[in-house]
Amino acid sequence: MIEREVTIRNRAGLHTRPASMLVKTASRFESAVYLCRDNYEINGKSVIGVMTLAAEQGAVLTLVVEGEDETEAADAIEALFEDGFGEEL
Amino acid sequence: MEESPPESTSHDELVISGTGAAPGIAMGTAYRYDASAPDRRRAPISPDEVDAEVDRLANAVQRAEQELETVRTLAPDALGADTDAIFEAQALMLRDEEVLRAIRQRIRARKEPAAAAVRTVLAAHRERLDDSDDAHLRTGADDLVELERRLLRALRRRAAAAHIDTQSVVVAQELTPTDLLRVRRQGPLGAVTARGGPTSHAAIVAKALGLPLLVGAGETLEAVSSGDRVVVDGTEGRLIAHPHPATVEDYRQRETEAPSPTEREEERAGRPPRTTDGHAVTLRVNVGLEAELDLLRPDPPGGIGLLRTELFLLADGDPHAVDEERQVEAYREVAEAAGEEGATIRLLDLGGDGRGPRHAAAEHEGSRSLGERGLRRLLNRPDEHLRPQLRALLRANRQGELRVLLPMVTDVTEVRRVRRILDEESARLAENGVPHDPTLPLGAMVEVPAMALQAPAFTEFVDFFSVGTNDLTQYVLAVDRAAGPVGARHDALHPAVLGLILRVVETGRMSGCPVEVCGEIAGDVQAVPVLLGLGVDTLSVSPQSLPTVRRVVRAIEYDAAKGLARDVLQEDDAPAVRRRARTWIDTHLPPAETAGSGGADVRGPDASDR
Repeated sequence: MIEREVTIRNRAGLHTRPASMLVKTASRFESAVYLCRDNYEINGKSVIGVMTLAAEQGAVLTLVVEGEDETEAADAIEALFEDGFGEEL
Repeated sequence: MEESPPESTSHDELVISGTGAAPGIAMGTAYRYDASAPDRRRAPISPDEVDAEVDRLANAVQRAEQELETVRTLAPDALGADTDAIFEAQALMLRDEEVLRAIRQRIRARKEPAAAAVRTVLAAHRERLDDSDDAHLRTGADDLVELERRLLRALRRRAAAAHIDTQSVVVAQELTPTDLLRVRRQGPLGAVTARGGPTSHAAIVAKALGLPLLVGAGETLEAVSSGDRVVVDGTEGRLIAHPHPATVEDYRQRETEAPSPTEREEERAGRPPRTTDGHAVTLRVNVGLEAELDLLRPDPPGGIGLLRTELFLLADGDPHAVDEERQVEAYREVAEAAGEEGATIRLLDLGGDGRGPRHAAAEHEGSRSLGERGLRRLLNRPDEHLRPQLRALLRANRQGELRVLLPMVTDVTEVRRVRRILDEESARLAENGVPHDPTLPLGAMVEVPAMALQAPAFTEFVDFFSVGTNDLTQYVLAVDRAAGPVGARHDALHPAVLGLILRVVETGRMSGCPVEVCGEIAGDVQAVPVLLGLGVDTLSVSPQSLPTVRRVVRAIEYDAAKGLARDVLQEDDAPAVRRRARTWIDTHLPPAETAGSGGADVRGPDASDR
């Protein structure tokens, strides 16, 4: 199991479009993906779940990935956060 | 007649303002179309209804996905680079297993009707978003409201489509894209809704169909009843009920001044356009929806270049539409609308790239565009769709006016297998004495790069090639156009894509096998001179872009276009090709000659808009 902290860098936060990018990426992997914010945990393959994190710019989330391809999955997801989902930072 | 104060009797002119969502003017009789009321049942269902209720939910999700795909296909690129991303997100929301599981659980455990379960579960999610301090994140709540409405609409039992007079204007609280497609089939003149905004999905569909639409007319719209005389002005954004004769006269006048659909149709009715130096170019039209056939009258001079059967047959989510008998009827209708030049019918492209209905199980990119789609799927299960569809085409083909097009072809072997099946079905029909025309030309879509590279091998087995630039570009450049930041790199004017097209065109020329281009690029003003220069002489474009493309073709000098094509093949990337094409257009196409009445700017979008 991998556990990492990720920070929302893009200005608009984890709104619908970044949420769907995240879910599309997470769904490419076998591993289970969870995101956690203040004890509220959601399935990283559920776009509505990710949206309900209501994570604004600067919010810190815990990314938990577990499964065969957990390293690749965690790296790919972390890269999206780093890149601010291709949006304005 | 004197001007009447606004508060006087109901037969005085009533002007209701709203937002014009699709331009144009329609004058006729109001027809109130109110879809059945939403399902408000809260009372628990009985235990033996549970399975059926869960099935209803699954069917509703599928119908909603179908509707979304239809709208996505009709949405013009002009809506902005984010359009695909928005549709993508909405489709993902519909398929959110976590949420669907929660809804099913409520149906099973609490015996809630599906609609009630949808409302409860989504409301709980919405609350979390409503609580956010961030305005941008709160917009997610709107997305959830839209999702809820989409699901509830799909759960609603279908209103029996009453007969709508062709001289009527549909008046409704709200119209979904599916409603609009359903009523359009009966040929009303225009539509007005109390709710909705100009960027709604209904607006996208109305624009694509050339149907004047006014949205957001508000509660005052209640004052309009079936049978009232109305004028809908989708351009200025108002509805006039019980119009004064003077108002009607005024609108009649404007109708004749405005570039009306009729005028565009007349323009279409001419012979194939020629370049300034006399090179003839065949222009055909792409059709996805039955309602679009109406846009083709009088007959399109070049016929129908691409009928996407997955959309045409399944647009309103009715799975019976693929029945062989229904298909025969549908193709006869298409053949008649296509006129002398006939119609190219593409076999069902299911499980595809988002341009065709997706298989619900095909979740991620790989399985969507690189998996079992198009011809692969048809050949893996030939009895499911391939044989019935080929039989229907053979039977509908009475005077040789139909052509068959194979989607997502990779190898010659696949084409040979289709040929064999086609011969078998034709023999069986002959045995049973079923009338049909066995001479059905067979064409292959050029989408998979392997196929383009091996084009010469195909000429022995196919009668024509049709280049589908959207998919070809995706595969050649390894870019999914819905893929966020790299999506913008999806541009068919990339030198590598153009080089492959040239290869196929030359193969075609040497073997006498016609090559046409039917992708979106064929309707792109910057691409037209490049494609002609490469030697493409048949383009198939949407009915909406036909007049513009026709004008551009007429302004092009063929010899000069050949020079442009040679030059762009030397460029490094798509933006460079576009820059060169734009410069060429500025110097070679005088605006005075190309900007006709009411047409789009032939200079087309800047590269930065794409």
